Amino acid sequence: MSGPSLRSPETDARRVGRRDAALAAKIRGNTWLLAGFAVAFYLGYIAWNFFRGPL
Amino acid sequence: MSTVVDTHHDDQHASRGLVPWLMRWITTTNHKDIGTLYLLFALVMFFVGGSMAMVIRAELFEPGLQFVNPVRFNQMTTVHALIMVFGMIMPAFVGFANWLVPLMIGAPDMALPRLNNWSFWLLPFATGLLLLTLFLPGGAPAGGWTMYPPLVLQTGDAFPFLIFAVHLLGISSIMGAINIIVTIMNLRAPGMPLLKMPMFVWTWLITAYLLLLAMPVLAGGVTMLLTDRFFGTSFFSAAGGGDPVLFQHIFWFFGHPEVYIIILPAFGIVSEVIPTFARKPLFGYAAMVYATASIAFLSLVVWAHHMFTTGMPLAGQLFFMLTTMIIAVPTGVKIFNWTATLWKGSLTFETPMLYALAFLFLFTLGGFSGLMLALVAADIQYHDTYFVVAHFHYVLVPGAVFGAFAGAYYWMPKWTGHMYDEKLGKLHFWLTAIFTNVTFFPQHFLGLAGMPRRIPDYAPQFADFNMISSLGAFGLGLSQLIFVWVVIKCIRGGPKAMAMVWDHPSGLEWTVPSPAPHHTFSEPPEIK
Repeated sequence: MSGPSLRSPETDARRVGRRDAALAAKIRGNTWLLAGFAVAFYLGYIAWNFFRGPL
Repeated sequence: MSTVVDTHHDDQHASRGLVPWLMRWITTTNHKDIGTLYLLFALVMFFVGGSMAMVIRAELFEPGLQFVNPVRFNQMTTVHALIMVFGMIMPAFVGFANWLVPLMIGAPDMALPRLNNWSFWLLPFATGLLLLTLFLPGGAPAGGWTMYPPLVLQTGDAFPFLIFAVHLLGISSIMGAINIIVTIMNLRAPGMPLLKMPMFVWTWLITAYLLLLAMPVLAGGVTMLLTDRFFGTSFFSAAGGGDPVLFQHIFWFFGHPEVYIIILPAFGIVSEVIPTFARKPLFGYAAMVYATASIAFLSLVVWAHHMFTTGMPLAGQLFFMLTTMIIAVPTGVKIFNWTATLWKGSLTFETPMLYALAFLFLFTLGGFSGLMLALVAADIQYHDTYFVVAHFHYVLVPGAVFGAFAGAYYWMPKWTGHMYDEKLGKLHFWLTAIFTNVTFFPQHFLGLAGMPRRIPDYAPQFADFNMISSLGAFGLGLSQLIFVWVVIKCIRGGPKAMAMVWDHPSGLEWTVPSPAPHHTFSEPPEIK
């Protein structure tokens, strides 16, 4: 990238902001994925034991 | 949910007065503050759990009943284990992770700072619930930390407290694990690929995945205990068509990885300490990473070696015996690589190095007794004897606790900005190392001679070794007061520590001043 307009502080800030927003979204995505896995594992394990054996 | 783009509102760390000071610690989202909270909490719990060990060893000082009745004795063994595992050693290593992972990977903080605060503050409530049971009618849980049904279902009013406490501890651990994984995977400084991360970060990444795999299973198990007791299900009741042995499978599917959840961060600390004091890079870095991952994977497929006496089929016994023994291979790789790092190094023996070397030797001894227990035929003899108690205390005390002490002395100058008192540190080390062996080594002989575990009284032929073990335990407990004094002294003052405290240590944490400023790496460092 080149050109004086692209090097302006506002553009830099926007670029950094976009990068931060993308990173924040990725972090949120990763977090929900891992949390979802933990909850699914927890509930799934109970459900599997509930339906697998005579109760 | 807050992420890294959040700015911290913790400028109040400069504020004065009790309420602002309290609010600062309660509401902090700074990884260093939360790391400090975890470490101090673990230290307090070390003494709470340790005082229960003193009661146990006082009772076992001689045959007969001296101080506590058998039910109280069983409560002490149960709560001692739960506090030491969930309230002391795990929080201690999470404290190290909080302090060091962002510093080591060049991140400004953990990826989820508010979740981090929540993870910590669940802990005092969970352990508080557990300790509260000591004062309930019927007393604390007494069925062992393994919580096997049907015995645990006979617990009095303490039962729901126990289950809720375990759930809270599990939630805290899972949130901490998610935070660590997300931080490491997303916030590494540019130029730091996974295979350039410090070993401590690697061991914690693998530990966090293990936590995520193991903890929900424990939570599921204790939820099923709760529904068996209060909601009429029969997951573990043979009378209702369930199976009590199922709980043992569930517990140990969590319990064995838990051993590695406890020990892998200690491996990481030792992998940082030994190269610094050998003045050589870690031998076989990539092999160490793969060995750690192999140990973690294998730890998920060995759980039933705790259950050889439940009457499992021969094929099951052989499978779990062999997988358990295979763990010795990657562990051997690690021991070899640490030894090779020492080979022809310019060794010096400061307190962290002494702890790391004692770890290397004594953890290996604990590993060897583990191999003995992995043999089905031998295990049927050793099962539920003091040999098992000796084995796991050799793994957990010279393993995990010595690893934590090595790390505490190694990074204490970075945390406090002052050098600790080396003479007191060495005194602490030698007393701890000697008394650890005096306490736990005779327990091998007691177990081999047939003394069962979890009993308040014993036959007279076991008296001598029990007396030696108890004397060692009292010495070990008293020696830990030296550590408290070292920490207080180091926080209050002492020679100023430089940024690079030791002789050319590696790692980004040594590039920031000592004590590490409240905010570090707002701009990610460039890694070459």
